[in-house]
Amino acid sequence: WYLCYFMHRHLDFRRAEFQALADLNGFGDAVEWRAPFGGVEHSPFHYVRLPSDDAARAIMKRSILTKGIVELWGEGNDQDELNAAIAAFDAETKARYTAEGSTFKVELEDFGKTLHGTRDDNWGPAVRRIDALKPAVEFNGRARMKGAEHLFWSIESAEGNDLRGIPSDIPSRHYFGRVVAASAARAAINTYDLKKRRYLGPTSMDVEMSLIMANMVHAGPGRVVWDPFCGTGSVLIAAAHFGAMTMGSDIDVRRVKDKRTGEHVDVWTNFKDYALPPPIALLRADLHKPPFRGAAASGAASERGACEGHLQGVVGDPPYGVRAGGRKSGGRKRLPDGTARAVPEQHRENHIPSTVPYPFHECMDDLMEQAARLLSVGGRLSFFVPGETGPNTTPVPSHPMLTLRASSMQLLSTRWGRRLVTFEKTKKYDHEAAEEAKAALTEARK
Amino acid sequence: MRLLTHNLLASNVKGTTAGFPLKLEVLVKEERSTEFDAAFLLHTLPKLNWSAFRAAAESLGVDKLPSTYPERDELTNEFLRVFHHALLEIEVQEGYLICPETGRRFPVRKGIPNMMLNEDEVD
Repeated sequence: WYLCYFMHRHLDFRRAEFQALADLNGFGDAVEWRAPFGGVEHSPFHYVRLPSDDAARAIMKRSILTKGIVELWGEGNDQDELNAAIAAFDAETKARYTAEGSTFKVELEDFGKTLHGTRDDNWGPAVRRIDALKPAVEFNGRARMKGAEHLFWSIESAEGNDLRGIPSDIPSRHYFGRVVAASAARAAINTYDLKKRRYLGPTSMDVEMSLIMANMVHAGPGRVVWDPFCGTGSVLIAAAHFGAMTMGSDIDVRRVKDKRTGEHVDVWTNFKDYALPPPIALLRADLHKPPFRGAAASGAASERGACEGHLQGVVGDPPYGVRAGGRKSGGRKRLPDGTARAVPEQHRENHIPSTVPYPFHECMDDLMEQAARLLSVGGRLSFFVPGETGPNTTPVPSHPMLTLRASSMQLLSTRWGRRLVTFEKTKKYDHEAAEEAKAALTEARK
Repeated sequence: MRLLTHNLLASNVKGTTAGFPLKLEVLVKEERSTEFDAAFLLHTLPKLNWSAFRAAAESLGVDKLPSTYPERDELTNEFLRVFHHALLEIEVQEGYLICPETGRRFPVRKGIPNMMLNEDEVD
């Protein structure tokens, strides 16, 4: 068992992201969880069983919401209990990481309080903390602040403090152990800081959540990830960061003028600014009228599922709400007989087709259907669904080719939130089964 | 737009049955090198509509691709290089994609095909 020290953020996403990364690395079935001390589900201190240290390292390479994975040498309610636990911990393991000739560093990673050492009292708190451990563990190596071989965390959690608006009922506890791997992936949050990005929109997905979404769909080398609501390309940038090939579409792909330089900026320039390989495709297209081979409703049965397997990930934030309600192709003005007005030949080239509102459930059905058609088996779909907070209030969509893998609520207010749902394609596309399920769903909605 | 994308796209104008393959009319094209990934190429190859891909590649000046879907022993490194180049390294910047059934012209601008349908083209 390891101590899994989570970030105290996006609480409902933490284990889901961890599990997605374990699945990606092929040891998903071996992951086991034990409730945190005190049984508080949103505690940052969970216990996790992993097959090896290498497994822990593989997770930490990409995890955005895990701070670190620790081989726990001991824990207790106070220093005496902690020391007693460490004294009882496997002597051979302790000796291996504290041997003469090695270098080490102990970091204080407290939760709910901060201890600042200063030069004046010779980094007092840290030194005192290490001294307090000495009866239980002998550090024979040399302390080194930079580039130490072995990193240890001394963690104390304090009860009752309010953390960035999240009230803490995490019980006080002392932990000590060897850090197997600590977060490296969070640096990307800074790299892609939206404040420094040249092409942005009012609904650009924040960087941290984009990276989490990219993890949920296993974006990575050799995999093609499509965002059908790509907008300014935020989620695609996160997918490209992890090495995926990207494909974006939207009903409105824009270029705007950069206010400072006067240059035109768009999704292409965002990728260029970050020196990421450009998307393999950007399209103006309507998810409701997908322009893919084999997608035509009237097409031959043999052509259906023709593009199956081209994608390994589908990810996005479907349009909903007041600011950016969904639109799909369709005519507003109708001729008296109900047919759409034809666009005169000379205007067709620059004509801007009108759109009609796109009800959210219809958009979701289209998204699920396209993912079921285009993904390879084992490929993943992840998207946001708006809803009320609280258990089981958001209906989770379904599709016969897709199996739900995760569902995580992000609170936006006390009452409203959005849920990131993640599916895995578990069966080859079967048009008849898909049609049958759709008919049943339509019937149930009536 | 690269040929990989071209191979996926079809016209969805009201009344079309397949809408594939779209005819290519190229006004401006660009070539830029992209990373060679043999595993990706081998995984993509069987999913392509080969005759449509080959015809499109030929219209862009790549004439070294076999006329029929390559057999196992034809998957040489030399083939993969040509395949990679045609699939991923040629970008149509400006031009048109033309529906084989209705003749509808979908413009490609700044490398982005506009597949949006007009009011009278959706049912």
